[in-house]
Amino acid sequence: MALLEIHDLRAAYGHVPILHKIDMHVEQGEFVGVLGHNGMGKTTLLRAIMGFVTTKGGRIVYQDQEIQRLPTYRRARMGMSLVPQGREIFPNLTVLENLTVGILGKKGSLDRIDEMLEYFPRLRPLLDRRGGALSGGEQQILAIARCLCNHPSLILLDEPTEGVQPSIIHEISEVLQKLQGQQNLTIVLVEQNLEFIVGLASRIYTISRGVLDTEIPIDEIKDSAMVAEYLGFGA
Amino acid sequence: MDYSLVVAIELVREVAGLILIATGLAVIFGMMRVINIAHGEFMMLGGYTVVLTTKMGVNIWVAILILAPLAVGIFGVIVERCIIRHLYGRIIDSLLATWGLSLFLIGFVTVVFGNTVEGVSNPFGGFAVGQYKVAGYTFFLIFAAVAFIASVYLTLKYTKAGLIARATMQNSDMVEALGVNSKHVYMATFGIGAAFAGLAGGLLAPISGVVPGMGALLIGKAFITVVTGGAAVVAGTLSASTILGSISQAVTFATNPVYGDAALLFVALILLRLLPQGITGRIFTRSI
Repeated sequence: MALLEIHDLRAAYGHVPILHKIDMHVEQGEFVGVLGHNGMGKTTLLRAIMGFVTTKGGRIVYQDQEIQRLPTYRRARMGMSLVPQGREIFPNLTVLENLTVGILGKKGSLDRIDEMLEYFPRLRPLLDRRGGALSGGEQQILAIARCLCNHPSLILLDEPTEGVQPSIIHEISEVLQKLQGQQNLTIVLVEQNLEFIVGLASRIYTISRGVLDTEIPIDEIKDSAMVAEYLGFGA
Repeated sequence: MDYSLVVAIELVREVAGLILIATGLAVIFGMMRVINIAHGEFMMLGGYTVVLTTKMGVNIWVAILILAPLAVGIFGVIVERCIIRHLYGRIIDSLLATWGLSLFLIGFVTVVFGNTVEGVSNPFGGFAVGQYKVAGYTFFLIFAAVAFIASVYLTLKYTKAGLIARATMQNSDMVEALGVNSKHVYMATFGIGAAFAGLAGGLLAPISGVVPGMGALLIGKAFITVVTGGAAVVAGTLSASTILGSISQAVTFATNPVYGDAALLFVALILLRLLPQGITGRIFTRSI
């Protein structure tokens, strides 16, 4: 059964159209990737699903309920969570406070923080440090842990590897695989990092100029010639 | 010796007065970045709430400590929902709208109560310090300011509501993505800032009296204190109130109140020249 279905979705910033007739479906427990160049509408797609971008038409169905008119916080309470590009942690709050805000939105238990620290032990010695004082990689881990504190059923991940050192990318990749297996999470990952997305996703959409035009089988995308054909850049 | 003691008490009272009038504005301007020109009139409404309710026979402490902040807080929530909510991020528009609200409130209260000073009986008597006399209410004001700023700090630092408010003011989109209705948080924060103004107006009513134009006298000092203090609500208000209040009152004692107010402005100018982000932009940067 599809957890998320998108039909004929259109979105714009003011009068500038960004997304055109997007159709997409994500099954419960699936890890789906969206691959595309800069400026093709990847981030706008995730922001439209989360409710930050006003849609100009089409439907977003989540857990069998149309949500395109719901405000962002209602979507979050239904189990959607976004890890945005640029992390957007709260810079003047400590790491512990950042994680606590992640819980409070859905009135969850503080025990969830301990659970997240088991997955991300790197954060434990940093709990009293301000979010703004962390490195880019640590901020990315914090952003993912904060989103997971919210007990999401669908995670929208926007370029989590951007500006992050390789060792932390590897750590994020491992934890995401582990979490998906253990907690049956559904994840939509937007990326330009081909190796990262191929290592995690079971299905990949490509997006070009606001159109979700091709669904590439994961075996084919490992073929660099095929990637060059679809995206114009090699693996 | 007696004179020095009286001067010291008055210095602390001036600092306490600045803390009381600036804290609400620090919440609304410092945290929410809304320039509320009507904030002085919110204080005036707090004063008139005390005048009106005590005339109706309500106990003065109930009027000052409960009814004034409650009435102005509710009024603040209505103002946020009807006016401010549509103007977040539009600084000039919100400035003009709240200026209009300020003029309306002054005119409305003048029509209802007249342009005369309404007195509120001082609930404490005075006592002698040597050959001088100090009002007992002065000590109550100092105590109230300390309790007030301490409760704001404890709320922001240690409660869930305070944490959500701080997070929302830093990044309202992200807070929404975590399931918090940021519009409710903004509304509540503005209402609390207004309630603080009502409390300040109520607390000051017994010593200054209440008049429709009193807000204009308070708003200038409140803004100067908040801007000088910087973004941190508690540390900024405390540090700026202490520096500006002490110097202003010392100069007032040495010369007269006009020079005292001029000294406050002069010191604020120097501080902002040296610390453009306010005191907490350079010092106490991790404070709330």
